[in-house]
Amino acid sequence: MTLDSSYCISNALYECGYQNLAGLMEDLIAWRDAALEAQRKAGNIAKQSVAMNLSNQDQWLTEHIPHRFRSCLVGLPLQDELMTAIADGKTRDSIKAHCLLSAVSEGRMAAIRWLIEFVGIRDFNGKPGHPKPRRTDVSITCIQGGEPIDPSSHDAAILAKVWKGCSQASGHPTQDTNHPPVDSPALDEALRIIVDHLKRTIYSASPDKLVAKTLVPLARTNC
Amino acid sequence: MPTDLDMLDFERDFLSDVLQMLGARLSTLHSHVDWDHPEESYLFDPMEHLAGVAVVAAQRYIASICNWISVDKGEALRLGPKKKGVAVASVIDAAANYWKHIEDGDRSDTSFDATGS
Repeated sequence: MTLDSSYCISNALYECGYQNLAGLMEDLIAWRDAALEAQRKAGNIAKQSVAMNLSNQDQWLTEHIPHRFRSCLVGLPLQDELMTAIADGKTRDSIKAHCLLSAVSEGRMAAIRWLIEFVGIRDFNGKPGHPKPRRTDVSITCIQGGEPIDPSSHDAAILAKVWKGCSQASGHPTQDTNHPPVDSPALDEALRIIVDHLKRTIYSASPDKLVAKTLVPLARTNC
Repeated sequence: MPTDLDMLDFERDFLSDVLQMLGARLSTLHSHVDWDHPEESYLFDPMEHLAGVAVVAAQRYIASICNWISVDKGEALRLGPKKKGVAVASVIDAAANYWKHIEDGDRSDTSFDATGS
């Protein structure tokens, strides 16, 4: 369908039968469903893309959601409110420690993902690339001496995998993503790459400053 | 009947609102055209503008779905309902690109092709 006139958008919609846009939304939904079905047939989407089986639902209700709830509770007044009925001090301490560890686990993934993007890497369909900058974004290039990590480097490949793993594990609720590992060894390896890069670039004038400013006792911070 | 997918398809709701508003305005303008003397009407330009906005909004919806279900946009545009043998999604995409860029100073072509040829 090739059109060439002063009113070709109007004409195209008219020729498609969408006078005053009637029927366009319905056809777009039909297109959406066709695209989804094609993905399902290609094996790219599980048949149960929305509803989970009961076993999975139970796992979300008893594990995944409480884990995030625990992570959010740390230090909030709600945590104390919810624990008023728990009189035993050791149990309270243990629960608080559990919440703290959940928060550490989630927070660590969020923070390392933040840092990976900051040094200029994210995953694009399995390949490392520079994040597409938005108007309000800040990256390492905004700071004197800042150079992003080369997306074609081995380090970038490691970071992109961790970025993807953290995004899928912690960025938003997903299932069956079979995401790259986000365990301590994977995060530790990524963090060493980031720290090394930061020292060589924006902290190059004083490479020890990063660690010195990081390992500060609590009383000296704003927390 | 709404499906589970519809409940999660927020972009669909946004687009539906936009198309309803634009459609109502188009309908109003259409009713004011003197169809005995359409060549004298000054309403086709604003109607074309509304139509352009509509296809760009629809293109955004198409892009959002492709991103959501991780499907290649080029392949997805060939799917779904067809009109006169051409996939509606590809018509919308081509029309939106045309509308967005027709006023670019360095653009020499003044037509759009939804067939990909």
